[in-house]
Amino acid sequence: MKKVLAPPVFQSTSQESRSEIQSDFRWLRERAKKFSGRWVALRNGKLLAATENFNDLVDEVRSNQLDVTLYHRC
Amino acid sequence: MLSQGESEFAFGAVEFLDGSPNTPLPNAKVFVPVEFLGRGLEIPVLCLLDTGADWSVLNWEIALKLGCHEHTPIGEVRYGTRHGPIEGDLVRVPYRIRALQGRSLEGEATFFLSKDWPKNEPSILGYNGLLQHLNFALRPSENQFYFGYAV
Repeated sequence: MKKVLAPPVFQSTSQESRSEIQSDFRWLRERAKKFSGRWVALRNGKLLAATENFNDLVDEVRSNQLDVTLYHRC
Repeated sequence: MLSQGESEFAFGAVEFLDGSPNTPLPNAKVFVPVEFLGRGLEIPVLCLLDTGADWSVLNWEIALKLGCHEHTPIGEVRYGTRHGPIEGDLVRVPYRIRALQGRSLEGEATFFLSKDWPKNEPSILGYNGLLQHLNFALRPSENQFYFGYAV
């Protein structure tokens, strides 16, 4: 149990921020219902791809070299 | 970022979504953007902030893609949920909370993985092994989630 509750290994980093997340939130509120049960990949509030399962979605994103700001199962 | 006395309380902040992502109206749920890391992939998803959850949970499909199911389990638990008890493993998973302001947090924490976790349930940031080690605060007027190390 001690190992299970061990503190996370942390570091603070200066990763580039992704300020597009607000646009992704807006897309979800307005359009997620239309994609109910499907996985979507978003960037800057725009739909990049939608599939039935997550594995296919990531493969599609990688093969097209897309930059995703949010994956979500609607 | 945020301080308490002379010590740093939070070094980063990110916007949270106040409500279920799949419904147009706000509700009491708070979803925080988190990136899960593995096999050279970065998977940004929304996680439900749930201080009442014993364990953090990672969606099974995401865990498979990242290879988390191949990590050596550090425990097995029967997790009581509103769907009934679910059997699964506790594993350490690399993750990042990418800051919109300040510095990002990158680390590894304990997550519950189960192929029986309902597909329509979100991934969860729970207490044991994750939130218990963080300082965090919400600024509801600006939908900001502040985070830092608990010391």
